[in-house]
Amino acid sequence: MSVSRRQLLASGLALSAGLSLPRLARATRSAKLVVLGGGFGGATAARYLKRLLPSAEVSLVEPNEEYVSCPFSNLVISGLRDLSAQTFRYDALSREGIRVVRAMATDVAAASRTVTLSTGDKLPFDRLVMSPGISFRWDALEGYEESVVQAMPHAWKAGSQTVLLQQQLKAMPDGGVVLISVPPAPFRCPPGPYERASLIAHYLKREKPRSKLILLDSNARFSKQPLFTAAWQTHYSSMVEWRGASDFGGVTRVDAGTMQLHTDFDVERGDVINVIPPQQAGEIAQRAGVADATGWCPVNAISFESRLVPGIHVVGDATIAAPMPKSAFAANQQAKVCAIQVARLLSDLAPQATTLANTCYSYTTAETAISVSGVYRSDDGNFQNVSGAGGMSPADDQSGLAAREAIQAVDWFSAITRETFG
Amino acid sequence: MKFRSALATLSAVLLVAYSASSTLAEEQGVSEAGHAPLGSTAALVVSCSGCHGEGGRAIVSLEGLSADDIEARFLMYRRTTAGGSSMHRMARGYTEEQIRLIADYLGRKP
Ligand SMILES: Cc1cc2nc3c(=O)[nH]c(=O)nc-3n(C[C@H](O)[C@H](O)[C@H](O)COP(=O)(O)OP(=O)(O)OC[C@H]3O[C@@H](n4cnc5c(N)ncnc54)[C@H](O)[C@@H]3O)c2cc1C
Repeated sequence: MSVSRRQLLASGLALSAGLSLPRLARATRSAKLVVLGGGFGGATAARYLKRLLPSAEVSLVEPNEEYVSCPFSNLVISGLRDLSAQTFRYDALSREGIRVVRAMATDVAAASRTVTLSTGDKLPFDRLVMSPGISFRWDALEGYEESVVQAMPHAWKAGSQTVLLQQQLKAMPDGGVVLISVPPAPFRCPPGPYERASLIAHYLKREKPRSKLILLDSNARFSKQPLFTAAWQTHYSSMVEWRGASDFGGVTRVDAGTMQLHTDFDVERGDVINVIPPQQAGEIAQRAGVADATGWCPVNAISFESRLVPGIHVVGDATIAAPMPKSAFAANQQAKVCAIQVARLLSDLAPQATTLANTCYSYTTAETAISVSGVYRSDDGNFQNVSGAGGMSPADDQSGLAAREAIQAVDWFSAITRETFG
Repeated sequence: MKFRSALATLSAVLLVAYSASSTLAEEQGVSEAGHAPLGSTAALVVSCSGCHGEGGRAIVSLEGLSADDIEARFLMYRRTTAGGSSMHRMARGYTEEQIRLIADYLGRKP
């Protein structure tokens, strides 16, 4: 487009003339795009929107100056990695012309298309992309409330909680018991609790070999189960115990005072207790009206537009996107596809179905990893597995794939965080 | 003065009205196939950069590879039934046509 037109549009002249313009030209020239949440989904969405629509005003609303990545945080917990290697800033986004607004979004008014910020300011938008991640359901587990997270860290949002869990493990005497409570699915990072168990066991085996780790799980099955189970047998023998829903493993009540977890039939005392809380979409999703009764956000899989509120797109953990998992890989990719579809909508082009993919690596020791992959189509507005594709690393690892996957995971982390945060 | 600003307004309106006929889609070079940033191949290709990056450290950087190289490797991953890496498992989810489009899009331009 000609520079003169861009300049004209920036001027009041063009604005008043704009009233009589066809919708298309108005929408694309002065498009105001707001992205809410600067995680794997939101930061990626902002960068892609700005790249696809250089003349649009792209704002990213995020309360924190730094983002601490959950992927690889289980390595931090087990003392294998420093938190600073997980910490990212938004400077690259600012340099690219994205307006990074350091605030919390406190409300979204769909009718007037404005986001209200914790600063009291209001941000108007033509289209809003939300990637608020998860929030914890404080009402869903008896005895579990916000004040308990110091005694029983969740470490399911990375940062000080990650470090706290690491310190508690360090302070625990040899022969201690570590408990991990796994909430009912769906939750962020389906293989995450089991990778955490593996890496904590890796730490205990070296530093506190008489200790024990018990997973108390609300679910009957879990991600990459045969591979994790085999790895626990091979590397940690009797140190790791998993108690699933069919053995009444699910935690029904927590008692921070006595450091006990109650299940339907048992009480377990732990020296270190990691309660991964029941989850739902980030709180702002409820306030914006894009979450349904499940607490998660139904979206059209082609455009990622909310099925409940037009003009608002949702990506990442907050969405109902099964069989796509709640992973950073998926959030990043959904954000890129969503940005393309938003740009198409602003250009009066219909959104197009596409193929998406996902791989989640999980460490089983410091030097070995396993993975699960999937390929998905969005044709009818829902995600569907492409049959014949995807699946887990082979159980019978003759070729040393687990060692190679441990290195691939490092390279994945490097590539995806560079694409997300610059 | 008055006349000049009236003229400016008029030319502004004309300019904007004229430019409205060229849509953003045209500016971006959008077409259904091709290498357009909003086209269907672009949406397919965004699956790659999460691992293969846009330069720099990645699980196998694609930098410098020609379209033919990328296609040949991708097809090899797709065909090798014994292959267990995540790329083997994902490659099986793409058609030969999609693989050609992706390779053309990402391959080094001569
Ligand atoms: C232990 C662990 C290990 C993991 N390992 C992996 C892995 O190996 N691979 C993988 O792919 N995934 C992994 N994940 C999952 C990954 O962390 C999430 O899937 C990913 O972060 C989802 O991105 P998101 O954008 O949806 O949410 P987030 O990354 O959580 O980003 C949400 C952002 O929104 C902001 N926000 C929330 N509310 C508001 C508001 N009202 N206003 C403004 N901003 C707001 C938050 O501050 C936050 O920055 C792991 C998770 C955990 C817990």
